[in-house]
Amino acid sequence: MDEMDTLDDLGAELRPAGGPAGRLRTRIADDLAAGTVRPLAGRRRFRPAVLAVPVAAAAVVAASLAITHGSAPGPAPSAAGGAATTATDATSTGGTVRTAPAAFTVAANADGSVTFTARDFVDTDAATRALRRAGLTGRVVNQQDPRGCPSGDHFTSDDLFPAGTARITHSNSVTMRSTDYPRGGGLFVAVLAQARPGQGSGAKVRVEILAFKRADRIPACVTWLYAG
Amino acid sequence: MGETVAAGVAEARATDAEVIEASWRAPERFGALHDRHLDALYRYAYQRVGPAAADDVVAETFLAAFAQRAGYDVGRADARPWLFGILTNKIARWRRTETAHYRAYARAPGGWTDEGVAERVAEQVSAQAMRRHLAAALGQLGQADRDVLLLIAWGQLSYDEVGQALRIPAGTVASRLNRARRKVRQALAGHDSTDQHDVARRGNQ
Repeated sequence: MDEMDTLDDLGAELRPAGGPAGRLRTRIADDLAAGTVRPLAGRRRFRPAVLAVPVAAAAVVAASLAITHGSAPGPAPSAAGGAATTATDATSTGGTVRTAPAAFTVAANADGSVTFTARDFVDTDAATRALRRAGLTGRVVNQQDPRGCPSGDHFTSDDLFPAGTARITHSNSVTMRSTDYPRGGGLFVAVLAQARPGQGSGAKVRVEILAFKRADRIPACVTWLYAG
Repeated sequence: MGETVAAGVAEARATDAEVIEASWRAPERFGALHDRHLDALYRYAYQRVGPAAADDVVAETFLAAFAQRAGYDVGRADARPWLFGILTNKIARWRRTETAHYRAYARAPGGWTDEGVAERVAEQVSAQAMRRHLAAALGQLGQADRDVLLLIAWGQLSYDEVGQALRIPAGTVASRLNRARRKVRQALAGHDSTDQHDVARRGNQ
């Protein structure tokens, strides 16, 4: 028996009885999800004109200001914005969720892009309509359980635009353009439960988007790998 | 059921390099890599730094790998050497924990898993003593030599893979391995008589 055999024995004795705990898997998934906000090649963060809205404003007021009183330099925002809906129950892919009044804002920016911001689960019909008024085709959904889709439409990575590409922002505010999808296509806009409430923006939700080549292929639900 | 974004059968067939390359544009694809290699990396880290630090070391490794994925050489289909290389760098930052881990093992009477060993046959007791001496010797090796020795013995990497992991030529791998083995051998040889005494003493208990 040489030293390498003894080393094998020692290695066997020091080896863990089982594999890594689920806790570690979850931690790594969360760490990587947080890491997805870091771009590989210096993604630039767009600052929409409506950021001039006072931060301390209440949600309802903020939503209203984003629509009608955006006063940042440059052309005034022209798009429709978050409807000041009353609290309501809405269907989510994770079950029924309680939506908050004016949980979202939709702001048209001077360069033609549109910024969608969610602070809570949203009235999805109102949010979808607001995006449409801002010139974007798409569907807004709430996903309380981002990892699971109890039901939904099938799609493949080829349905995505560009194929197989997901744009993960891990933020509660995303800026989109009509050029993010081809003619006839649209956007899947998911309002997801934040994995670690209080992190990042501090919002309880975040918004992720997927671009689809065809609007009629936009699903009702997507399973997000790192959404835990 | 909704489809998992950018996952599925095609991903299961993809090489590590293809997964990493895909993750450049679609970061969530990187998950497949830790699904594949987490167990091996965790086992190795656990052996080297113990249970208390293994979680941290492995989590740091995957986060670093994710951050460095743009620099991955996609000509290398298997990412295991790359991941073990990052893990080795992380372990180096836990050097004190690692050496304390070996010392604790070496001092533990009867090792950690064989309590009541006094009633066992002398041969088993001797093997136990050898492992304790070996653990003590590992703690005294230089970091570079220990990395090579343990990547081969516990990480199950080939010489070439160790070279890739540590970014050193194969010749350097061989020379470090030889030096590490010689030191360990000498350390074990120096304890032979002690082992016999230990066996005799335990045998009389």
